[in-house]
Amino acid sequence: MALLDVTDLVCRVGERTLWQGLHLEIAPGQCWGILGSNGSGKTTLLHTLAGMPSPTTSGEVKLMGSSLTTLSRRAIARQLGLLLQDSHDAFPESVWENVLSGRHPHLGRWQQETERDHAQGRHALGLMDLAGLESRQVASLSGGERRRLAIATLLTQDPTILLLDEPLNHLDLRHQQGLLQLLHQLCRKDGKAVVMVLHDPNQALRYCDHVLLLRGNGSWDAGRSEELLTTERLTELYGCAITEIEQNSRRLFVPD
Amino acid sequence: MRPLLLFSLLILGAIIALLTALLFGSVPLSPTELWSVITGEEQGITGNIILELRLPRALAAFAVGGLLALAGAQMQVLLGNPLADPYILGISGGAAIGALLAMLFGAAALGINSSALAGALLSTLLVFGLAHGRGAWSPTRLLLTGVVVAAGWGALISFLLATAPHQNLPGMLFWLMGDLVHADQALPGLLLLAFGLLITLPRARSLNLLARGEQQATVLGVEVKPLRLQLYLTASLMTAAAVTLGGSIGFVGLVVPHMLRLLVGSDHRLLLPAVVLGGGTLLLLADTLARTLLAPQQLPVGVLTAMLGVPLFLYLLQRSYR
Repeated sequence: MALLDVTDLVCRVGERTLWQGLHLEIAPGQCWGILGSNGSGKTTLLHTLAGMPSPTTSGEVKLMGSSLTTLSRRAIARQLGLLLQDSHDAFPESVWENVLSGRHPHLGRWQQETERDHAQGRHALGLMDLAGLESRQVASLSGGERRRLAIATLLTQDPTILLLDEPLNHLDLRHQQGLLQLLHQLCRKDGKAVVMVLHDPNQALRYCDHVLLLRGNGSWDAGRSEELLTTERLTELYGCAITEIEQNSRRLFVPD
Repeated sequence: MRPLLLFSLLILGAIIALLTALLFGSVPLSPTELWSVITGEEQGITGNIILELRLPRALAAFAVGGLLALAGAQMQVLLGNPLADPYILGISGGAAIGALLAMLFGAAALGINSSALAGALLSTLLVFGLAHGRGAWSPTRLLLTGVVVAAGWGALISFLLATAPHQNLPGMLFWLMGDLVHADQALPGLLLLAFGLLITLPRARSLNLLARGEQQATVLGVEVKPLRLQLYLTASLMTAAAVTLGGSIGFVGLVVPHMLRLLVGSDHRLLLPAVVLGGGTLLLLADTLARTLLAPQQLPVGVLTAMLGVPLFLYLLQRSYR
């Protein structure tokens, strides 16, 4: 059974139709990349998949067979996590408090975190190269460290479906590679499903087995990355000339 | 600071503040006299002073301080703004109008209290109705509505003060500055404080998430709408009760949550009980000072909380924006 089942999703902003008749089936082990120009509705789509529909969207999303609208936020959060594009902190908070909050949907009202929850938090911080920063204030972190903390919190939440809105923002090249490899492994080995917004077709080609192209005019394409990612489609998608070169038997897209 | 140590210190502080409040006043008592009253040996006039005057007032001061601090901590999360206080949405203004009108009509303490409570609840419903209206219910809209309604109450208060007969003015001004002289009923306040803590504590983890914004809270499994509604109603009810008991005592609801965030961090599971103890203790000490500084004359306790609160808050502000 598909983890996420999307039927007939429509997004209209004012007079514009960003996407319509969107059908997707996201199965365990799949890694999806969403590509599209700015304002083509990528974030709106991720939020809709997470059951946070805006007034501009309609259609049905089913999480493991049940419509998202019938599920409590807590039930959703145990299976599905969303990395937001931005995080903001009005109140002071430590790195450890932040990462541990990922366990929230798994704990009852009066329950406290157990050693197992702590271990998960520590593991996630380690994966995101943040070990040792537990007692630091979030506000004192650099942009990239904050981004990795948000991802560590998502990993601590340990959902089956990970939706990530531009996860590579603020990350340096090494951490970009590390994160993409980690997500790839989560799909391959742990049977998780990943849906992420990316801006680099090369990363999508290398790490995503599926891509969804949103053109922002109602039309869209979904399918296997190596079939869908061509110079013609990308040139049309981004509205700028893109050529393909080959290096060490790998296809690479570069702007002309 | 370690939670266990901090809570031991807070509880110790509260006990010391309570003993101080019982010992000092226009008639200072010695610890031996206090002890003989506690053990029941002394039942004369000293016993009366302690058991019927000072103890109820001390407990009422503690309850009011705890209510204000707890309401302040909740209001800050609800509005997503660390500078919010329990009065920001106009509850104290509504209560003030109720109290001042009752005073103008010559009502007794009970009449003033019920009128203040009615004003506070009316203001709560008014702001909620206006902010809810049609369309989305956002913290910004709630904040703006509350601030504007509060400004309206402020104008009405000035009008009442300008037109009131002179003999009524001192009483009215004392009420506005926050005054515990008539706070001789501690039980309702203490019960409400316990109730408020009991209702909010199981949601403390959700508050941690809501403090990070609506979307982040939703993603991690918090039903934001009902949580906000619950926060608004409990914070308003607690503020209304505090204002009814003690007038609009300033700064406790703003400063205490801030001070304790510096000490315990932002985890509301620790912060909420800590602000109750801290707020109660602070107001209890301020009220003891208010009773004793110029004894037998009593100062409005709001003057003292503000005198303590203004420099403390400015200091915290400097620190956090450094």
